[in-house]
Amino acid sequence: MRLLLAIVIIAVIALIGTRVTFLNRRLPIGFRNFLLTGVEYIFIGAILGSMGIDLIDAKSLIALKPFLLFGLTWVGFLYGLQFEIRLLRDLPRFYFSITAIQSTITFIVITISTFFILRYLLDISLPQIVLASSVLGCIGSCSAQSAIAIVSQNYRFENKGLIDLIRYISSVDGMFALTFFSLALFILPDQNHTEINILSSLKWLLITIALGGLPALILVILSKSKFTQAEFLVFLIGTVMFSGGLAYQTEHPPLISGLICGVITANFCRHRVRALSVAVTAEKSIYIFLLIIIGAGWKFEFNNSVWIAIGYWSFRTLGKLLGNFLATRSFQPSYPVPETIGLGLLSEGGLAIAIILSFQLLHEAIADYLITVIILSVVANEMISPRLILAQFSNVKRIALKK
Amino acid sequence: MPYRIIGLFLVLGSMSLVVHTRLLNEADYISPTLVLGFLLISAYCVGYILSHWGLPKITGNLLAGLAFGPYFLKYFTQQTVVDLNFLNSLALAFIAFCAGGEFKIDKIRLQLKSILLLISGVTTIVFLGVSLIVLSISEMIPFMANYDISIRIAISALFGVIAVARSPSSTIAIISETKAKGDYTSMVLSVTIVTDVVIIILFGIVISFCQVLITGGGNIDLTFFLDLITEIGIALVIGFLLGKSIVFLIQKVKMEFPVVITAVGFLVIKFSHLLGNYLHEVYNIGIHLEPLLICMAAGFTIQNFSKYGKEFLSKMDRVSLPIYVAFFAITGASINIDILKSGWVLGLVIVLSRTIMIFIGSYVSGRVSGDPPRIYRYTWLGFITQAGVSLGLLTEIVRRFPEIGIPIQSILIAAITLNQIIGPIAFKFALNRVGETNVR
Repeated sequence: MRLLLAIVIIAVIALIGTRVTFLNRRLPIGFRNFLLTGVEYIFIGAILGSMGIDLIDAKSLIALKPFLLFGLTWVGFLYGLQFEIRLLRDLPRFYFSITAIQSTITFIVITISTFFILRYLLDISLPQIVLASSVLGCIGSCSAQSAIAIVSQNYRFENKGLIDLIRYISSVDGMFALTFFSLALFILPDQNHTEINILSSLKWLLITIALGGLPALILVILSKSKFTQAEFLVFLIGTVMFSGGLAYQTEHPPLISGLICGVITANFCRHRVRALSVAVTAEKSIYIFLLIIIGAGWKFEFNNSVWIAIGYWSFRTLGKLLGNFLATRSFQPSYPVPETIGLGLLSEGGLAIAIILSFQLLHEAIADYLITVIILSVVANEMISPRLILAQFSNVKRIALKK
Repeated sequence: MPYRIIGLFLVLGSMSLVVHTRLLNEADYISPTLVLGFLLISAYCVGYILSHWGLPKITGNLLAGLAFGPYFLKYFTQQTVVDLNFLNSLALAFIAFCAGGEFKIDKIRLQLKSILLLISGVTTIVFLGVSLIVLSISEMIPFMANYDISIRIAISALFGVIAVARSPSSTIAIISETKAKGDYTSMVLSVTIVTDVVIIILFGIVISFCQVLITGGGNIDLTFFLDLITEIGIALVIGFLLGKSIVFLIQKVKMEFPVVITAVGFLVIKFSHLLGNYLHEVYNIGIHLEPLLICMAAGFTIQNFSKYGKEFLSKMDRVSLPIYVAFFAITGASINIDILKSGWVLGLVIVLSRTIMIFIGSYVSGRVSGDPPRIYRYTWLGFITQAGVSLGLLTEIVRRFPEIGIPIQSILIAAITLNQIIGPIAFKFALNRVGETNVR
């Protein structure tokens, strides 16, 4: 019964949430950061979960796994659909390069620094530490768009170039985060082996590509002849579920199989735009579902995780500052860019949650340490991000509230 | 077509690689997510391919579930099918909302006489006809032969009452698939839905009558009928309020209501059972609210008491295909071949006698009510499908009369399975013959 209630409550919250979250409302300043970024769903999840009324208990979480797998694969698929090589080639090199540099530097800074923190604080094997710190690195390298959306809704900026740059980076750097995540799992694909083995890594890579590639091929073939919109929905849901299910069954990450499935669809399916528009429709609901799930499964304890979170957050901030500083200085945009632009990209949201949940499916023991780290960091960043974005602009005007 | 065949072979090949070769996977248990994804694609393809030979797509979905399931190609186990049951509840709620939404007062008013005559005529003739046929051959049915006449009458009545039940889900799915619209379509649908309510009352009456004959004591409790009417009344009121709440949500929150409606329906199904158990255990009150009736009433309210009726149906229709494909494929996978094997001969007798009685009942009712021949010649073909309601009633028979219930169940499951396969084919054929397909 708990499971059934949990499913319904999550579904209703997720759907109502899509109407009120992220950017659609103008609320008094105190509520804005909390209520409009999606962070509140982590707390709703925590209240419904074992730290609260235990409606979504451990058993329910296990039973909700098919939905979780579907959600994670769908997120990967959605990102993959944006990897259309023809379009990527047409993107302004300048923006793309800045994004690539800032993501890579942030990833390196976080991975190296958290490697030492984890080594000092956790009693796990060296390859596991390499894996955990790399995962933290890739999660930290992406930025969410929620904070920039809130700020844009409420303020008008003279420096339009800068706001566009922040918006561009935060929408594209997820691709790099997912690429880094694939690389991180490539290092230690099998949780039963604690040593790095190139052969098993290569095997993992090939299988992961096949798990995303085969369903994508099926989608491409099915959509070659005439079909209705309803049939296309069957193809898409079926393909994504099949890809996620295959990945989970063979102990591979559904997020990455979804990503590969999306990349192949984007480049070989004639109906990629149609697929993208369907995938985007479900995006918000899926993110809210993931936020609630991570909140429900969260077991907060004041232990090493808190210190790791502080370290992770600090080095992520440093990485973002350094990465964006170096990237923007290398390319010298035509508009003024402050040295601290990295502080405007601290917001961390749905993709970070999707990556850690996907990681948890495969490496539960290590992921348990990291869940608290990511939740604390996401919450802290969502709280301060709108203010930090505003601080990057010398001249901003508050848009009057409409009555 | 060739692309669907290639797609089907690809999905079967990939699944075999994981499930049968054990090359990539050593676990015995197959994840429900994988099975669902697999069934969505494969059952869709089979449905599509078979539709080229005139078969309804849902028959293809059913056959795919049966073929790829635990009895034949064994792509997944019985346990996975059980794990996927939650999806059936979701799909049933969705279908019940659609069924209620298809029920338009204006349309019904025009056909009221025919609908009432059909319901009363077919129900009476099928119930009495099947009961009498079973009674007349009861000495040849091994488990009935040794009972005295009163018990044989009771058992025959149980066969008769189950024969009355139909399948709104298959009817709705076929109408949606064929894009059918017209007098014939709305009459078959209305009769099927109302029979769903009638069968609950009739079943209640028959079961109390059988209780007296089989257990051999007590009188028929007349307050029981009052309880039944109360239950139906409460379900309709709750459904109306639920419908109004959904309209409010649509107006104020502007939600994607097919998903909300499915979730709400699911909640209704589960809470109805929970409430029934709770009232029984705590207050010893035997009220059982029929959840599908609540969902139907809610769909009916949205259609007839709000301005969102048309939008409601078109939005539900847009997302209905994946739900139908999954629902019928899982239903196919749930078919128990062992039971079918053991009871198919008697099952076939029941199917034949039921079909003949349906034909007589609908033909006579149609002629009496003055329907055009185009309609009354084919009405019976729309009433053959049987599914969920019948199975639910069978479970109740087994619960009340375990000794005779189990053999009845095995025979009737075989009959229902056959009707489940024949029914959609017959209905699609009839819709084509009366020329009401592809007009939506």
